[in-house]
Amino acid sequence: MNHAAEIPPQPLYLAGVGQIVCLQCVSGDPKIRARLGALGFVQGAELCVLNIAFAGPLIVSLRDERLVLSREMAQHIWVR
Amino acid sequence: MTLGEPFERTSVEAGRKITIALAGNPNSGKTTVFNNLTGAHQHVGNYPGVTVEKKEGSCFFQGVEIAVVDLPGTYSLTAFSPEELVARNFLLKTPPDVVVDIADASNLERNLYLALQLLELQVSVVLVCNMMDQVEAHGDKLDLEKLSTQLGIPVVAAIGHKRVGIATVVAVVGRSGSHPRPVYSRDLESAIGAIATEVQAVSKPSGPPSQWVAIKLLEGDHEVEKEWDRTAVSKVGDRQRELLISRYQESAETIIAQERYARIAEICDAASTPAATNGRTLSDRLDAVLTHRIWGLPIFLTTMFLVFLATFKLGSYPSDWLQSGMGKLSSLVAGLWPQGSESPLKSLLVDGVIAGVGNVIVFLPNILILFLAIGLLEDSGYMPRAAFLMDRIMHKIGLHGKSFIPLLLGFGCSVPAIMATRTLETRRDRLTTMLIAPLMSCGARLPIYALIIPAFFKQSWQAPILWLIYFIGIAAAIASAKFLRSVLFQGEASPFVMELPSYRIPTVRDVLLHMWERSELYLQKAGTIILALSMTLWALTNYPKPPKGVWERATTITANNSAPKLGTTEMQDVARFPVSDEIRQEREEKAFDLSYSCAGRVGRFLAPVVAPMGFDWKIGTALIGALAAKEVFVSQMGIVYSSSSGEDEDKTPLRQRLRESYSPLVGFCIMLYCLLSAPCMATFAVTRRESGQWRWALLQFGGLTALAYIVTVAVFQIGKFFV
Repeated sequence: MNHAAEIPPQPLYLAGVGQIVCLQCVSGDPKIRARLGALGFVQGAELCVLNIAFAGPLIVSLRDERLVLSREMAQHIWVR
Repeated sequence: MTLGEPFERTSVEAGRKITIALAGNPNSGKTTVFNNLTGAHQHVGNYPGVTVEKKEGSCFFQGVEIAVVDLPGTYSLTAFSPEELVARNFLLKTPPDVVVDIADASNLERNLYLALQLLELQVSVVLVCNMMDQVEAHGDKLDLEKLSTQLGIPVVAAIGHKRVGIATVVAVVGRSGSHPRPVYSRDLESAIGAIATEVQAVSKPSGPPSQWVAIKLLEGDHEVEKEWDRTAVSKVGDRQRELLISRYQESAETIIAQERYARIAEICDAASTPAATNGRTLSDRLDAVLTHRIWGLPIFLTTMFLVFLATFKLGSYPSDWLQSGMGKLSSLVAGLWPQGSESPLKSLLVDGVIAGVGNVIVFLPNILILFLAIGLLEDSGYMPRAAFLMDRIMHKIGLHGKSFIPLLLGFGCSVPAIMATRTLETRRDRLTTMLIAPLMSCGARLPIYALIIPAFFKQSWQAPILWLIYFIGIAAAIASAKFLRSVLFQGEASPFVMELPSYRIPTVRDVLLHMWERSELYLQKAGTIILALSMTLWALTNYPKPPKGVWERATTITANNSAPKLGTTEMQDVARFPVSDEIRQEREEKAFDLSYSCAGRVGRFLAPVVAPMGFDWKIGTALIGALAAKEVFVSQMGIVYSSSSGEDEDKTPLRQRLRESYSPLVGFCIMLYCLLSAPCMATFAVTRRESGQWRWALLQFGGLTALAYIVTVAVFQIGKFFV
């Protein structure tokens, strides 16, 4: 765990496909934070990027569900 | 208890009436439950955001009348989105007796987020765990008793689309009562407590619960903040919020979301035993192919190609049968009168009703197939995948993938397409999508193409011409979106997040129901608007009749090529409607009658306006009717042409008459104009309602008409040199 804490958070879209990452924080305006929060993008949530379209949106697994996030949205999700 | 008929619908006995509100996440099967409860046929689909406004229905259970209000599907009850605000204000202002929260049990955690907020509102709640079949299929175990204990509210299981469990929902509604609010961490609770005490001191007992106000103030909810602005309460609220922020080093709304999810995790730990996850589900494996970064898009485009191919190829056979059936019907009806009869009733039935409505009904098979295909795409869950695939392309025109779903629905009908724009997060995106949605060639325009294309183009050209028309619509939509984005709605595409439901095999019942609902609308239109307009147009094309002898004199005058001598009133009429070369060539009294009629006069008045597009006054007249509904164009042409045909002559099919009268270029221009021009009245009305302002509907109407006119004139004028 200590080892993981040293890695600085990166935006979700930089996480590799298939890698399970842990959500650190959500940035952006209150509306974006509220929207993501309601969907379960909260600190400690485990995410996995399943698919990234070329220069496009991402398909992410969160708990048992699949979500499409636009790249702009994924920039606000910081993971480790 | 039978599953098909979950409860008896009896007449009002006890006179008691209770109101239940259905709440739930988008795509949680809420609308299906609503339909099963009320016997209504509201539209259901497998993509988020089908329920766009609160709908009401009612049913009876054990003599008690139950009014059911279907609230918009929401994930939360913040003030950020219009749907959430609609749902929330309804619950606050007219609290129902019970709120039935429909949760997708296969995504329980996310669905409980809304449940907790309902509990915070202190309304009486029943939780319905829908889609329990999926939970079982997944191998998870969910203990509803424990869930009920944890939440402190009744919990029932349901499988909405299979109509199981609905009876239990109705039975339990009467038993639900008050319940505790979910308890959060000590820090948060102390902040809530501090604010709530302030609120309680000043608020009316009928107002919203003080603890709910406290939570909303901590979240920085602008609606609630506005209400309490510059009061002691808001000062305490601000202080408590800052305290929380400094303690957690997070924004307040994030803290509260985390608190709710922490509570949900506790609840789920107690109530649910997830199966050992093997990671990839069947849905994921399908997605690996269907949303593949290289193959995904070609697969989607092929699918769409097949949809339209089926619509036209498969649809053409039953359509031909209907066509010949209509021909038989019309000669059967005509046979009721002696040969050569001039009975106005015969003319009304044969040339008005059968020619008008019949020509529209003939295309029902094509419409059925198109709606069936769209229904399958919707119910299977493929729509959001298409949105994912199209995102990058949509970005180029300043929209994003989510806008693609409304546009795709637009191929069926613009009205649901415009309603589906509610799922878009910003008003800018919504308005842009709404304004361009009518450019997606809808099902009502299909009859026009189906009439025109085979009339003017040989077999090998028919498919490419059709694709070209659809493609032009899409291109025009792209250009308009770019234009709107650069002039009216500037700025970057907004970020979006969209749920990706698991694939589901659509049930035959649901798909057929969808197909029928939409086709019913088409038939209804045929039976009402189109019937009325057909009869009106028949009257307008038949009356007033020129006085006897005018035709002979008119032909003599024009034949002698002398200027008409004015004198008698008849002569003045003739002078006002000079016989053109075209009519002289036809040498048909009927055509003269038609040009003398009301419709003819209006058409002639419009002739100079539509002439640059290559249209004559007959097309002009039909286009006026098409303003009410696009397919009216077909019926109008049917009437105009049957009115101008000789009585005893064999009824030549409309297509043949068109081929004799116009060039293929004109045929193409007709399609082009109908594709691009002002949307039908229903679309106009729904744009007005959804945008909330007349100006957007008027802009859509005027803008599209101008676009259609300019493009069609350009195509005709340039095309003339090549054809």
